[in-house]
Amino acid sequence: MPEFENANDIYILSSYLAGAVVLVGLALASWRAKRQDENALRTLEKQVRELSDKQVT
Amino acid sequence: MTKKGLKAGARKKRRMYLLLTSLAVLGLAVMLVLSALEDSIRLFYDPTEIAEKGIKPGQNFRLGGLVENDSFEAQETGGILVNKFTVTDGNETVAVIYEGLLPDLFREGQGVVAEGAMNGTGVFVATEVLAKHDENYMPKEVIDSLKKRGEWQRTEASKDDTP
Amino acid sequence: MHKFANPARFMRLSNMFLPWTTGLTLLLFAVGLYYALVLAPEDYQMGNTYRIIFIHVPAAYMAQFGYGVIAVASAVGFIWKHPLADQAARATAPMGAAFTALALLTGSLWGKPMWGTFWIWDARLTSMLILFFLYLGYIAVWQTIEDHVRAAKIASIVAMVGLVNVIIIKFSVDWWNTLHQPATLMRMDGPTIGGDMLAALLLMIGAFNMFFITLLMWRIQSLILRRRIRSLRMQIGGGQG
Repeated sequence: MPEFENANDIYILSSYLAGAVVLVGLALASWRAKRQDENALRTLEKQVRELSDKQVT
Repeated sequence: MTKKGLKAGARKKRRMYLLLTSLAVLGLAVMLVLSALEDSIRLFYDPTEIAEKGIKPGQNFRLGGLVENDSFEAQETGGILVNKFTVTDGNETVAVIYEGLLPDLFREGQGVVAEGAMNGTGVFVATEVLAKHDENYMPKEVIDSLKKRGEWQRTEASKDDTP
Repeated sequence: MHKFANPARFMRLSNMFLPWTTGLTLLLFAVGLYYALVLAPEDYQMGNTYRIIFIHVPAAYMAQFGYGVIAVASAVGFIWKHPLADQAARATAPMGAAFTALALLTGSLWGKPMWGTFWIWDARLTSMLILFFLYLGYIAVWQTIEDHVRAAKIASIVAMVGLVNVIIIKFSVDWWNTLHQPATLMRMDGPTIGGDMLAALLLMIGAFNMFFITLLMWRIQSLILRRRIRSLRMQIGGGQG
């Protein structure tokens, strides 16, 4: 009994590893995309502000 | 409400009905297809069905049921492990012979799915044996204490116990 | 309904909720893993290997939950023409696909030692694989069709048609004989698991769920920001040209 249970450790470990990879991967990808979009929007808004300032003056 | 608003509301309602009816029709169609395919979707046949259908020897199929208690026997002849056991569904039984390693969860009284064919003498010669376990999860300690009090009914002679 | 439709309002509300859902996700994972790996006892037949269910079951549950979210959001988008609903559906798809893949993979890792095979074409496993392809198809529709309105329409139809498959997944183990065992949690006569094992499973499902909600909010925010970026770019382009 204990023998095959140790042999099965590889399956348990792989499952938890796969879970960690998927969760961390998803979280990082989503977080990074959000950050990039926020930064892109900020620079764009700055450009728009500068453009409209130029047009006013 | 303005005329325009009313029209938009009516359109919304129409879309909703369209959606609901198409889903109902789709559901019905899928149900019909699935019931027509019933025979190929099922994974295995139980011993009663095999007795009723009269499957020819040599025809490949999957057999499923419980491993009958006290039916398991393993012999090693010439380095090859030969397993013999009976599969039951409580009504009919089928004798099975299988050469090779059995999965961890193979136990008497537990579910099993075997692929193979009947030979000429009414014995199912399996090429692959898979264990099917049930939906119950229970701590070891609970079973041990139940056994101690004699309240655990299921005979559990596992393959580890058989010499 | 229309309160949440406003993207600006969604941004404000989600920013308010996010710290809480993030914290709760981390907390649930910490407690859930402690239960799953330490407190929950060994199973009487499967020993420690059964601990795979603490990843497998939540992943499979989120795979179906995700599809449910897409289908409901698609229906709202289809009937009420809600842009935010379409965005929510679109943001969910990659997560759902990832959880389906995880459920299939961990199921395989369970099947090999327990059943004796990595894969079998039984009704449960096959319908789960179909779910994965449905997710891929749904994502492909969004990526190949340029026109936003048309993409949303076709994607929503794909999503709602595929909903039939989710029902098949749930009942596959009851309608046909399969190698996969019947339901443990969602059954008429109550769960066939108890004590710390049940607690671990519920905690892990809760953790996965909170994780899903947190990421969904990030992803919808991302899609809203991208729409704003696109319209600003057009504005700048138009101003200069």
